[in-house]
Amino acid sequence: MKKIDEFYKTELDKIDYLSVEEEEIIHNNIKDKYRKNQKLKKTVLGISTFLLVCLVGIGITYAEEISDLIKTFKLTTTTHDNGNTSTYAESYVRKEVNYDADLPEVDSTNDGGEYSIQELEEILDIKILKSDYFKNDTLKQEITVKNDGKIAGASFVLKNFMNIKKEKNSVSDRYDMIIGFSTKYASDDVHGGWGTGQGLKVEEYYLKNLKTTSYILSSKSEQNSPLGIYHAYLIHDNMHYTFEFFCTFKTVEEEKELIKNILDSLHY
Amino acid sequence: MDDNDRFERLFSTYNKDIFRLAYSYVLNRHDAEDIVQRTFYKLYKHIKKLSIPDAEIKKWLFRVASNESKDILKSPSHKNLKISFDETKEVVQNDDDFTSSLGDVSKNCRIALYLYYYEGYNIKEIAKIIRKSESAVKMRLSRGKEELKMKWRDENEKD
Repeated sequence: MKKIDEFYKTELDKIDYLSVEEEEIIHNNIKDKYRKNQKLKKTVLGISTFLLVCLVGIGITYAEEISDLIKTFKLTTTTHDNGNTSTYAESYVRKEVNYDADLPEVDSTNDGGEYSIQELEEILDIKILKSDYFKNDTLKQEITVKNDGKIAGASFVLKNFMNIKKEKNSVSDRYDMIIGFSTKYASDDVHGGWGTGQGLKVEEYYLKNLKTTSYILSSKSEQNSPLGIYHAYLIHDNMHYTFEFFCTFKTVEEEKELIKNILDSLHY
Repeated sequence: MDDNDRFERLFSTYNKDIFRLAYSYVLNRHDAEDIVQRTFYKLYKHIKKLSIPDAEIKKWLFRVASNESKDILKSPSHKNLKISFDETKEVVQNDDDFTSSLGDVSKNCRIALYLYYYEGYNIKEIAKIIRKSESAVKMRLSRGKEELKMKWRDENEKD
């Protein structure tokens, strides 16, 4: 992996960066453009009182909602020369929500709020899967993107949903659920997905209650390893659900049984 | 330090990073320069409101540049240009080693790869910068790595 890392960096280092002169030109262009825009703004404000502004409704035709066609992940599996396989999954689903919901935009520059599952359901006018295993229901807002004021996508995390207390100086189980969606206002075609490295097996597990397939990925390579990290992915009603399971001191069978029980317990 | 001085400092500190990110996505110098200009224009416009530390400004710039990169490739003028590039594909590839080496990586994965490999951000940080879920970032990195690995193997075989 390190070699690819170096290969990538070496390729990028082939770029001829901006010369000092080019930097100066760009720098001056920015300031010129800003000055011109400020001037233009003042002029427009000055004459706007004399103008009748006609608003022309621009009909925006959105592409047919892809979610009607593809309701789950599109999987691509590659077999490598050494016989190992790797898989990546893409999703194109789009969720219908209250696009004008009162949620602040959240990204790397600010922190999101906290909402109970019920609050978020009301704000966004959606239904969120729950489980009897959930011992808390506080969803932390991770990302919220808006386009022209309309909700384009969001993700929230329900941390440590079984409220497992961590003992001092010890490792303990931890289970998180991340929910996310993209709407018709999202700018990309691909709205979610996951991928595995070489040799990681993906187990398909069908959820009868929800009539959907979930994908369970395990990072546990040895049967007797004390730690097991699992991810489970599923799409239900055009929402992405990702479960992260950090299991300690259990056998693979016990870990998988617990994960499947949690997945089977999901309901509205 | 007034806003003007702050802009000068941020421009000289980060213009190369933004250029590199843009280049890694659009794979041509002309568009990358344009993206640098558009990105820093936005910074200049909003600098009064951006009272956040420099490290966060850098992430903000990456996000703006990533959006600008996507917009520029979608613009009608760029699509027309692409037709003329395609007609002279051979010439373009010979002129630009970088384009021919990494042009096979899907567009969707390029920014995530850049932020991961070159800038050293972790998946959570990348998700916040490009405003995608962590699972979407993982998928892009996985797919990008596979594509990169194939290219890397080809290069090694050539050597």
